[in-house]
Amino acid sequence: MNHKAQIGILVFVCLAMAFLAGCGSTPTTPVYSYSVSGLEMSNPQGSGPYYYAIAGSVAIDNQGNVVGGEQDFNDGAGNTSPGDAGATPTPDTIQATKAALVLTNGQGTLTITTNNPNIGVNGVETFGVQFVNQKHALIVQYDGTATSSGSLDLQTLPNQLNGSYAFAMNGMDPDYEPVAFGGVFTTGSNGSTFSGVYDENDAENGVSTGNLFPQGVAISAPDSYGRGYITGLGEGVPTSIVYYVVGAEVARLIDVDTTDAGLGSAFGQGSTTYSNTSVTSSVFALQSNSHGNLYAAAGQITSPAGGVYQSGIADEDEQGYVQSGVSISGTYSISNAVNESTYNGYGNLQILSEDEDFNIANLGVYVTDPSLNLSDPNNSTGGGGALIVDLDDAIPGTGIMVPQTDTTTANFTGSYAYGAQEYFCDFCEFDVAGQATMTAGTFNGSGLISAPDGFVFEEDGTAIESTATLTGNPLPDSNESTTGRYTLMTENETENPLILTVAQDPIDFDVVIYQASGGQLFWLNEDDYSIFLGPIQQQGSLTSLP
Amino acid sequence: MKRSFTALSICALVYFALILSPLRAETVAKPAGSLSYDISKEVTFNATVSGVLAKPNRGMLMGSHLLLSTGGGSIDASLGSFGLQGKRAVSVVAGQQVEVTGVLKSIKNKPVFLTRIVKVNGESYAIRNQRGVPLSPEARERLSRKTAGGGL
Repeated sequence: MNHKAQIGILVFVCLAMAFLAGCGSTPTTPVYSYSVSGLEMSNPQGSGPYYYAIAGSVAIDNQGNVVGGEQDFNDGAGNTSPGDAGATPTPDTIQATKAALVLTNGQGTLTITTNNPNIGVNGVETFGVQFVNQKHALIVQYDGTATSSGSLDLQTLPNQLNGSYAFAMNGMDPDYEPVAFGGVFTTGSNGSTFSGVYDENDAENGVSTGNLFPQGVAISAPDSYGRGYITGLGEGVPTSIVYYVVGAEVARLIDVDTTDAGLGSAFGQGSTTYSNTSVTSSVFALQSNSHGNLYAAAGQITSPAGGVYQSGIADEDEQGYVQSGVSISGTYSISNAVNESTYNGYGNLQILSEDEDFNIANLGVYVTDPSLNLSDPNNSTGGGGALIVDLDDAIPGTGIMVPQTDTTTANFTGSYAYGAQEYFCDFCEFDVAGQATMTAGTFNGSGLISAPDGFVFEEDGTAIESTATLTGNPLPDSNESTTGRYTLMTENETENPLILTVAQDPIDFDVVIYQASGGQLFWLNEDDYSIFLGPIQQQGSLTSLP
Repeated sequence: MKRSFTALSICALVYFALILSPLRAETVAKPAGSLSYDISKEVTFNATVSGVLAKPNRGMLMGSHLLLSTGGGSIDASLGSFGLQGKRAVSVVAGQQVEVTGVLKSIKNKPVFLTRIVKVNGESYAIRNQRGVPLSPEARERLSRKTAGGGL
């Protein structure tokens, strides 16, 4: 064999090896950021349930094996990830576990084994998982020690906090009373500079707006799992917040102080300068936390212009006191000044209603990049919108407001994933994540329901982690083409409540649905014995999942 | 002259206070809805407990309730989500005398007493905070530590 032939064979072998091995690079294990909040019973001192939040990152290979990860857990009542009590908050570690993610058609369970024995079942948490697409799932804790709702999203690294963000968080203050806060901040690379403004609604201390962050806020660089921490934020907000990067413009935030707790998100604002013209017809949805002054609300505003919207409709359920289909109008202002400095996208929206019992009148509005989807961070459609904080006295809550782009009933069709965080009767909660089809006007599906022992169905004396079916026929309002609102109500002329069936036991729920588009909807349960709020998101491809 | 100077100083202080105060997010006064809690409208009265409801009857607010008999009739006293749950929960049975402090509201066209404090057998139980938000067992515990030696 001559020299040229040898070189040719060598090149061929190298090319073949490069093709087979991806040009010599090591395949990267996908990492997912996740977060949930709800009620937990695993606190060692007992006497729960307590509010709690989890945020973390977990690497899962394409066989469903957990390769590693880290997370932070906090209930603000003595059950905080031990490393977070130190001067430098350090996470619980997630151990490698074979076959941890088990799915059938995008639905299943994820087992996360941590080094923290005070959470889950001796440190092992199980989550019910419902994938919406290959990069996004709705999750509920599903192991009898806690119940909660949240999401799991494919993480893109390296990314760090750098630029302008809107943020909102919801949780418990140091007196263990509910609190919500949100605003906007701008930071240089890894916190080299930090400035911003925030509003706060504390159930004990009331509402304060236009609070400036102090100098000296420090942001650590993210580690290999996208985790970093923020300290020195000043009064009224947590001493230490841990963040988990989801992508270039999205991070999950968790309060890791030992005496208070909370969870939220930060979304980038991009390079847009926002004004009153930035607000379009929108759907909003917001909710107290599970341990708060229990309420949830959803609604819609039509054709806002020049700081005014003439019409809209909204629903609210506060402690079982329901205001259904209330006509609203109001004003709004985007990019307001504090101390003569204008903060981009720092806004507010007022709601006026002839129904004096409709209790939501003031929302803080913090505008995000239009290229983001606030419910599905890896999805570039959705049109952005805003994070919102309820600034009405005694009802702290957080949520989102998203552009309403398509109210066509015919486009509410196909396969959807859904979630619901339910406050049921008294000091209890259950959570659901599942999938359904909307076909010929019938919404029909099956999901995973989590209700630890004593939270719900206490007559049975058992925890419920099982499948639950649901079915219903959403009835478009007569003006649905304007509002995007549907109802499933026992009081409709033809009774059509949503029927959730658990262990062959059907339960009726009066529900309204607001359609932002055919791909993104929200539903609100408004009964006197129960409240839930959650997303309905059109499903994408579920191929290539473990 | 001195008085003028003082008046001018006060005007200047007010002016600068207005100029320098944050232009905060506008909030509008909302109507005093049925679930709003105005502490200036609180009343305190004695009653006999005719019923203790750990779970609400259909049509009631969520949470636990005391059914109270007074000279003027019976009343539904809402204890919120946590009143009968966990540490420092109200300990009461039917037939006992109680003193309750709260605000009387009309909810769903029925009178409902949003209870902030229940006193029974010489014990005082905090049910809501001064904004009417129900206190969880952990919040009650922390409030108790804060107010140890003082009143509610």
